[in-house]
Amino acid sequence: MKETTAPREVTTAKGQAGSALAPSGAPYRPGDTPEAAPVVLRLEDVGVRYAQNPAVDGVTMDIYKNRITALIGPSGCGKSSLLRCLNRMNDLIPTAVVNGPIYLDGVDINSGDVDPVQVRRHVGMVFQKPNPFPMSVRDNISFGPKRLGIGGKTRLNEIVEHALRAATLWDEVSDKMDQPGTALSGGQQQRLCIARVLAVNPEIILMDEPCSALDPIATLKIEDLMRELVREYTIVIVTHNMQQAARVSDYTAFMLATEHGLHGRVIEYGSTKDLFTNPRDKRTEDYITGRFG
Amino acid sequence: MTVLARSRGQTRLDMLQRAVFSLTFLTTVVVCVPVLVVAVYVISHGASAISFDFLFSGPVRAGRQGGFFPVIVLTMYALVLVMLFAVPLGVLCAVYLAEYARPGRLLRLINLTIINLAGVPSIVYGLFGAALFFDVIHTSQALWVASATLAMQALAIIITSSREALLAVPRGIREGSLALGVSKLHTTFFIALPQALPGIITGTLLAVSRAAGETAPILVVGAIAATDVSLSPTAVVQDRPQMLSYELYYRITEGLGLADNRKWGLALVLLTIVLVFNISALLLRIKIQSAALQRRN
Repeated sequence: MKETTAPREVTTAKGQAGSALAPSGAPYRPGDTPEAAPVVLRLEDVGVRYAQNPAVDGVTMDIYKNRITALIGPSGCGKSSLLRCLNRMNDLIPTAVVNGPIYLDGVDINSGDVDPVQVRRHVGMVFQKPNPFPMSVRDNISFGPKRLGIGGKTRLNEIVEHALRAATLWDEVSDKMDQPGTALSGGQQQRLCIARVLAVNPEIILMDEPCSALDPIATLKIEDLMRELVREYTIVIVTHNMQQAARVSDYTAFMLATEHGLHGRVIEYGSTKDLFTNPRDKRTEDYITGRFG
Repeated sequence: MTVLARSRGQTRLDMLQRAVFSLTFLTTVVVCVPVLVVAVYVISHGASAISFDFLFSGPVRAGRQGGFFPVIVLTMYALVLVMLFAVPLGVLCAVYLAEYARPGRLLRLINLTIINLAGVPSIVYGLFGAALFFDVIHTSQALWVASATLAMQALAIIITSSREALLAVPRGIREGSLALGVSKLHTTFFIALPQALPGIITGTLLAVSRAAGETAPILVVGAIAATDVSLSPTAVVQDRPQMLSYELYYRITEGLGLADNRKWGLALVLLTIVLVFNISALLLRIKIQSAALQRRN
C-alpha cells in the first residue's frame, strides 16, 4: 500500500474555519494526515437535500491530489449523494438541492457562472453498474473525445489505444474493437467504462461502488488499476466494502446517518491507516469492527 | 419418494395452470383467426382483378376498365407527405417532453392531452383540417392538405410512442455520457435518440398505416374518385386528393358500379401497401440495430 511517514499536522488555509462551519463540531478534517499533498477539492459545509429530505449535511473536507479517498458507511448515509455533488451529477435530479461551496482548484463549482458540463470534463465518473454505450468497444472510448471536438481517425485511434492500455483492457479487447461493448464480461465492461473516462482526460475520477456488481477477481483487477491510475489522477471512491477501502485508499471518510433527521454526516476523516487502526470516534470503531452497519 | 410425489393440492394447481394456459392460447387463436380469414378472403376475392393494367394504367370509363395507377401513386405521395409533416414535428416534440420539460402537473396534463388526441375521432380531424386550411388559410383542395390533415392525427401516435421510446432509454447510459462532460444536447442526439430509434420507427409506421386507411378526414377535405392526373410530384399541390381508402369507400357506396372483384382488388392493393410499409419498418429496425452494434469509427 502507501508509504506512511510520521504523522504531522497539516495546516490548511481553511484549517480554522473547518470546525466553525461544522455544525456538529465533529472532527471532519484529517488533521493528522501523514503528508501534505496538494488539495484539489475543498468542500465547505456541503449539504444535499432531495425536496424537503436532507441526505447529507455539514460536510467539510479536503480531497488530496493523486490520492485515493474512500467514502465508507452503512447504506443510506449519503455517500453516493455526496459523491454526485463533486461533478454536479445531482443537477440531473430535479428535486436535488446542493448547499455549500465545493472548490475545484480554487473555483467554486456550485457558483452560478460555472457550467456543469465543464465541471464534468474535469471530474469524470464511473458508476455502480457498468454502463457501456450500445456501440462498439472502439466507439465507446472515442465517443467522449469526438463529442468534445477531437477529430481525425489516427488521433482518435491513438486516444482509444492509450485509454484502453491505461485501463489494462487493451490486451483483452484489441481484437474485439468492433464488437459491441455490451458483449464484454462485467469486469471488462467496468474497465471499458473507466477507459471511456480516461479518454477525456479528467483530473479527478469519481467511482460509485465500481465493484459491487463484479466477482472477486474482476474486483481485484479494478483495485490494481486504481492504484496505477492514482499516479496521474485523483480518485474518490464510494464503497460498501470496508476491506476494499482499506486495500486501495489513502484517505477514508466514515459517514453515518445521524439519528435525528436521518441525514448523513462525516463522522471521521483521516488517513486510511489511522482510521482503520486507531479510530478516534466510537461509532467509527463500531462500524469497522463490524458491530453494526 | 413421499416428498416428491404430487399431493392432491398440487394436482389441482397443475390443472389450474393448464386451464389458464389453454385459455390464453385459445384467446390468441380466436384473435388471430379472423385476421387471417379477412386476409385470405381479400386475396381470394381480389386477386382475380389484379393485372398489369389494374396496377399500372389509368382509369377508363370511370374506373370500370383500366386501372388505378394514379390513385396508387398519389396514395404513396400522400403517405410520404404525412411522414414529412408529422415525423420531424412529432420527434422534436417528444424530445422536448421526454428530455427537457420540467416534470410536474403541467407536463402530466400535456402528456394526457396528447394521448387523448390519438383518440379523437378521425372525422373531427377532417373538420378541423377543412376549417383550418380552407376557411383560415384559404388554400385550395389539394393532396397536401389531405396529408397535413392526416398528419395531425398521426402526430399524436408519433409523439406518444417516441416519448415512450426515449423514456425507456436507461438512465445509466445517459449519465455515462454526461459524466464525460458531454453536453445534454449531444447526449440526447447521440445516445438517447439512436437508442430510441427502433421505437420511434415502429410508432411512425403504425401512425402511417392508420393514415393510409383513414377515409373520413380526406372525404371532408375534398377527396375525389380516381381520375387520370399528372403523376409528377407537383400533383401534390395542383390536384385534388385521391387516395385508395377514399376510392374504396366511393366504389362500395356508388351502388351498381364496379365489379366486385375490382373492389376487392382495391382492398388488396391498400392492404399490400400497408403491409409493405410495416415490413420495411421491420427491416429498417433490424438494420439500424445491427448497424448500431457494428458501426465503425
